[in-house]
Amino acid sequence: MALQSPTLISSLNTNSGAVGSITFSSIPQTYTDLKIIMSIRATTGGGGVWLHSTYNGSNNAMNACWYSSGSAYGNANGYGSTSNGYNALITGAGDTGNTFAQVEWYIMNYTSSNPKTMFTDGYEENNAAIAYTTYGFVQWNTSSALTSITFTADSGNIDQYSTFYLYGISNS
Amino acid sequence: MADVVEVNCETGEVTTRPETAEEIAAREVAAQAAADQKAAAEAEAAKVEADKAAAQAKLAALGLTADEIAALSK
Repeated sequence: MALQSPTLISSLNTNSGAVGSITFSSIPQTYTDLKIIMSIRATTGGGGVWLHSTYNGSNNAMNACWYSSGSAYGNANGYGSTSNGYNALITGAGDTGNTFAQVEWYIMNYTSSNPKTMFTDGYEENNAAIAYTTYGFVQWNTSSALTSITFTADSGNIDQYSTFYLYGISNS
Repeated sequence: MADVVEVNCETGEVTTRPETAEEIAAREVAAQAAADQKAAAEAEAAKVEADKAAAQAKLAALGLTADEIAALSK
């Protein structure tokens, strides 16, 4: 059945200042899929900072985390650490000022008792020769429904003026 | 110490609290693992490019044209 247009569930921003992590908790269980759209920057690092994701407070049940990235450094593929769940490279402090990575996170059948598949597109904004694009996927192998998701940057904090939008998508 | 921000999607309540020592430590471990992985991936990509250039140079030395060498990877 065709999916309906996304419905905004919740949003967060860091307009008041940098933060260590952001979490969407008590996610409603009334949709089929989830989509998260982020505009995000880290307070340290540069040339690509990994964005981490944590599901229901732990990544113990993660059984695949693959990424593919491209930049002027060349192309790279690999398995991300399943404990970290990272599969998108974002803008860091070493990149052009006031630029933010654009990241989309799609989570299929998040209330299902079957393994959940998630895929990501990440585009590091940096007005210079080096800017990563990443595509990744995660499979979260648990019978539990997804009720919370947390994002952190692997280097430093999530910078001021980053924004996060969580959408629910139904198939009926 | 950075703050942790959580939004309850059912109520819309936003909670902000200081990061715990455990959360800071976990992020430091994750940061090191990510840095190691990124360095390894970039090193591997650089090696592949270097090997490719060396192979192309050897083929050119054998008399293959640039078009013939390029055709091998199509």
